Amino acid sequence: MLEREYHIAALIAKQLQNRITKEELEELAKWTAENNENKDFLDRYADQESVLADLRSFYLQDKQEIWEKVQSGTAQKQVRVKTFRLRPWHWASIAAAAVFIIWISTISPFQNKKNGLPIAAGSVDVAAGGSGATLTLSDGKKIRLLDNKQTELALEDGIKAIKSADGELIYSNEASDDHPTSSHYNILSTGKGQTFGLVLPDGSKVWLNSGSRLEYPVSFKGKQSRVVKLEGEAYFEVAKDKKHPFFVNGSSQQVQVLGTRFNINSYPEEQAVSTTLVEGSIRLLSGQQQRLLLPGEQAINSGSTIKVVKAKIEDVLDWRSGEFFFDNTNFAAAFRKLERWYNVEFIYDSQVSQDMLAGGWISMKNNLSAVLALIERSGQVTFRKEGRKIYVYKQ
Amino acid sequence: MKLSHIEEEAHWISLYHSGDESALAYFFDLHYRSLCYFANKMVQDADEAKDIVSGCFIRFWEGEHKAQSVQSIKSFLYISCRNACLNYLKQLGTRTRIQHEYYQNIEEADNSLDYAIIRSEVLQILSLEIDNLPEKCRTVFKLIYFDQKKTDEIAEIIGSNEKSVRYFKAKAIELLKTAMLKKGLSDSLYLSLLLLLNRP
Repeated sequence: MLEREYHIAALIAKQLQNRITKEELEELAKWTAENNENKDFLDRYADQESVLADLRSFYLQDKQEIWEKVQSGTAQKQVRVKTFRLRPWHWASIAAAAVFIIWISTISPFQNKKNGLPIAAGSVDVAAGGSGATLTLSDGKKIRLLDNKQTELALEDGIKAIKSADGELIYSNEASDDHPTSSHYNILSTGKGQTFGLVLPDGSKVWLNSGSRLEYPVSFKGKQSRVVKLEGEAYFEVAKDKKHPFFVNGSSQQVQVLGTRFNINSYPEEQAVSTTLVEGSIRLLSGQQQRLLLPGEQAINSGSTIKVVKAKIEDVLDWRSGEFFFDNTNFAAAFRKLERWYNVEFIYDSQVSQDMLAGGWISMKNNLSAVLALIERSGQVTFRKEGRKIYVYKQ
Repeated sequence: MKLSHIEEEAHWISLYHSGDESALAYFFDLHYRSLCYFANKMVQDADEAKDIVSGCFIRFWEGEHKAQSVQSIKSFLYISCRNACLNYLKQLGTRTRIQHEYYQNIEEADNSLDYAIIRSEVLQILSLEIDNLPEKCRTVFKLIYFDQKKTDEIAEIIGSNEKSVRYFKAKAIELLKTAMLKKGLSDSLYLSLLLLLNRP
């Protein structure tokens, strides 16, 4: 379609490079003589200063920014590829000399049983986590929400909630006038390897990741704001109600919700609290600081500073998709995701480099042995399992 | 083992057909500069150009992976980019004089050439020439010319001493002189290039 353009460009470049043949020069001269536009165009190349200036701006393009837009644009799609390799240029910005890469490919676990290295004999495999949670009422009574049967729960002050068959606790919507009010608080908490969903009385939805805890009022009626308290990690979809702002309080920050979907990662073992906004807008308040976030941004709150970066949404929300996703994450952070889901502890031998990065994805439904076998295939580490402790060695 | 030009093209096309993401990275790497330069020329807005270009690659990847050659992929990207730019300009309603001129140019008779594409392609070819310099020469050349770094800064960046940096600089000029500077090009060009490269 653009063959003529490519051909003329090749001739012009050859002339600039002093590589043009006699015949080609004649061809170019003929083209120039065809009409005024052609002549004017070629004349512009006589202004060599502008050619060099153009060349400079040609080089100084923001590759990283554009590539990230492309990646987030293509990542949402269902199409998955067999293996996930990154090209060498991607690592150019990493200064450390000792950077190893752990790949976790998506070859199915069945195939892996043939090739994977065996976990120490005599140990029991660790199953993947699943949905489950504990509901604590304001009087301290605990209700386990484990099985997959739908049950209706009668809580304090006549408030009703339904535990669904698929891992959700749904409070009845208090929009109706005859809905009871209450000043009680409930706590929904998940253990390691558990996740659970929650629908609050205003219709807001919260999904709790493993090892997390949400404290919330059983009824928002009569309250100026809707305030909940989070420890651990949760994804929120907040129902709009401009008259009653929604706040998520944590130990080091408060998030004021101005509109809809975001994820908060505030595990104590992570170095900072990460708040990632998917849609809508939120304001982050921490000590003397506040930041307004835009969709696609992630605020990293170390307690003393708040840094805002472009979010790697897939990496942040992988726990919601049912697949672990590592997007050049520090491998220790990646392993902590595994620790929470499988309820194990990784203990690193001193030889293991701290600079490794992990890339790839794997279904969260796999048993731990399948996951570890895949990681061992990267050739960087090996594992030795003793009960719930996994020792990591340099390979 | 370095593949021949034809083998290399076939390799990437086959990866593209199977939806392997490294093919996306490869084509992105190859074309993002010329597309950005081209989009910028059309819409005169750097931020908008970035959005348009990333949109082109997303559409390229989301579509059916049926293209048979590297060149047809390049053309798809250029045309997709051009259409997106034209749509943007249309939406804009008001156009600057430059945009207006360009827009008119495009809408003219079918056999008129797209000069912006030609310009993009010329720059792409010249930039490949720079990319073909031996590694250290290329690094030093880019650091001087594009990042405008001084000799001592460069020495630190590449982990060499200043003497080596000057050597690579001289070698780069030498190679580029034969490759890029035409006999009879105005002396001012050669001089300005030398001056740029010889800055302390």
